[in-house]
Amino acid sequence: MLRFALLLVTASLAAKQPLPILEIRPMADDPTLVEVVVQTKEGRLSLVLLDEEGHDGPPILGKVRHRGKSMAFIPKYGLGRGLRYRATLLGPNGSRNTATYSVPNLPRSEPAVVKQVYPSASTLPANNLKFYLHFSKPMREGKAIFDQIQILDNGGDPIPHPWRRVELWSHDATRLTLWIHPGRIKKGVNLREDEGPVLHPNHRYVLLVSRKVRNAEGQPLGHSYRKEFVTCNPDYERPLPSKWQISNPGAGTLEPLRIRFPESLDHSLLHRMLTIHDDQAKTVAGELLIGPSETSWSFTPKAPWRPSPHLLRIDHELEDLAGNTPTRLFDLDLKAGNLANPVLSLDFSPRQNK
Amino acid sequence: MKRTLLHALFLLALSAAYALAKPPQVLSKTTKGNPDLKAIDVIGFAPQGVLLIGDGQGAQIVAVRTGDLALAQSLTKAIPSIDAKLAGVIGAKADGIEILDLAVNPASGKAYFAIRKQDDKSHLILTVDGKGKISEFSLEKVDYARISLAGGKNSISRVTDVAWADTQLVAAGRSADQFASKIFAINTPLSHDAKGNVYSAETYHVQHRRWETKAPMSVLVPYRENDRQYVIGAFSCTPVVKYPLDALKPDAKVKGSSVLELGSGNRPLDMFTYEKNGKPYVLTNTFRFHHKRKAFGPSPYWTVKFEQGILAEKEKVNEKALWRLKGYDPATDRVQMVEAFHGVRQMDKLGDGHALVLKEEKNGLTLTALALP
Repeated sequence: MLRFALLLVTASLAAKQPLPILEIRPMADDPTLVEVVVQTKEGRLSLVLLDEEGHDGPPILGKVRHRGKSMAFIPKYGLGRGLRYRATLLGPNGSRNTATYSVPNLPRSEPAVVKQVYPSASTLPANNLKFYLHFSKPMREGKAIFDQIQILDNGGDPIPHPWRRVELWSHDATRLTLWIHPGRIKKGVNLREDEGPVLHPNHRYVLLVSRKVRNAEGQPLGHSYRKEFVTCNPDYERPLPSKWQISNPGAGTLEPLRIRFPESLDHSLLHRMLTIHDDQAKTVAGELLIGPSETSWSFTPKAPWRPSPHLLRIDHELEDLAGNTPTRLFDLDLKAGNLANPVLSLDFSPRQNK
Repeated sequence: MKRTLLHALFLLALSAAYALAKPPQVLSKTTKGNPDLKAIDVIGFAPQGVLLIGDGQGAQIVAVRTGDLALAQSLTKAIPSIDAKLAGVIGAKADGIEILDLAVNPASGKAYFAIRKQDDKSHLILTVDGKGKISEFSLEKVDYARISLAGGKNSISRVTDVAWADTQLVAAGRSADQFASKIFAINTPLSHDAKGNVYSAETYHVQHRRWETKAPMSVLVPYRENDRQYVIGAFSCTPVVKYPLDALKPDAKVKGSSVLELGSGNRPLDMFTYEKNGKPYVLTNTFRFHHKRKAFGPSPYWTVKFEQGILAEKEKVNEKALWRLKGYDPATDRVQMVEAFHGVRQMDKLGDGHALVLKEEKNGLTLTALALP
């Protein structure tokens, strides 16, 4: 009885005492980073995400810090744009104080777009292996993207399941590598035998990137992207450097070294698989540029060419559009015997003006 | 003299028994702090509660001592909408996260989830205990060993699986631009930043004894047969494959033997071995990308169990490998679809009798323990 009376008195006092001020304060310039501050040292602070009906989600992970007569809860991870949250202080006397906070949507900014797709040529071998999609902003990763990018046939119908569903993004999530399913390209593999290849020779196709593809902040693309292309016969030949044309820049100049390939080569690998070395075997520093349809490559040295022999080295794993390399074919025919060793370096001597 | 000999033999037997019973050493040299991961692609467990994290962007495997060694009651009650609940503890909606991987710590029975927060691309590990409590396994101050997969011509951007195989740790990695697939073998115990105990091999597959292609592996499971250690796994295009682990030599070219065709248009996702009624099996869940055209069940995610003996097959491999189906009808009773596992997107073994699974339901994903079939 006495205990009941004591509880009543406590509850009554609690009801009369003003509740401490509870605030959700955004930190600095980023409204997704907040701290929940309350002017008391007592009680339990929590923060939850509210669903569309205003129901509480689970308590959000974070740390409570005591500061003099106040305490603060700091969520460990940033809050989500456009979402609503509720902070609650449960007082030691059973009182409950709440505050809500809506994270403003991101201010309107330029939506992401597809800047470029490689291979850039409009004619591709029917066994083309991959596409590189370059976006203007970091994009949202996730398997949904494999259903948001399609290859349409000449009638505008999507080709079912063309992709290998393994996400391969650049570190900054601005480049996606899309592999056409190798099982539908490789000879003798059941998937190809059952389903047939994704691309057939001498057909028209469209690579369609839908607006549904979202950037990291969740905004859709500014507009869809179409790459139209036609296919030629599959490429079952190795890209052999011995067939390349190499220019001879002038000694003492910054003239670019130019190489022409008889076919398109892999855009990404061309950036890291060709290197130039001087007569001391040192790598020559400079800037490279890849030409239209990835059929040429030029290199401008930082310092003028020395009038001595130079070497262009080609990594044996450089690929053409069908995944063939100088040393092996994508589909190696074991009955065809060994392939001849390719030339993997080309020499040149910058020309000296007489 | 006889007595001394007996005594010596006794001591020898005792030390041999001790050596056999001694748990494998997982970590030798570690460091403390934040491993500074660039990303988390996959997770798995070594013995003694050591969490293995595959970080392709950082070209590294990080082995973290969790200290989570107390075997507790495993999950008894299903948790519906686990995706929303996991997202909720970091203040996000279900579509604001991606559940990258699920692994069960065999030492404790606790579930570990690798999560990517979609808006700022941060990666974290959340755990769910047997009572359904969600916590974060913080990587800020941990005891860990980092094994670099960089160097040489390795250019991987994604680790597709990581697995503990007693004397070695194996990992599969892929490049974002080359059509290459590396399998890395790392000698154990794992030593922080040790050089020279990591080597990689490239995986190949031969079709119809004629066409040889590079073949990326997507799943790795250690498997022992006649005292020889193998890794079984799956290619993207031709399912279950077996490699002898001792064939993984530096810069080797390793050819796998295809031992089972699950049917084209399917990609195995998770795989583990188990025993039921004294008989060994393998369980694997797969994604069927031809689901809309010819469904195997109510979901594109379906699961199959098969007799482990199929892996030991020597003659019927590659083009002679066992097929699960003839047309669309079962071709063998050694391989069985498991209806109770329809809709399982991710799974791991939970003790001897269960699988902990993430299953598609009407309102999102459910975390539940299913009896092994």
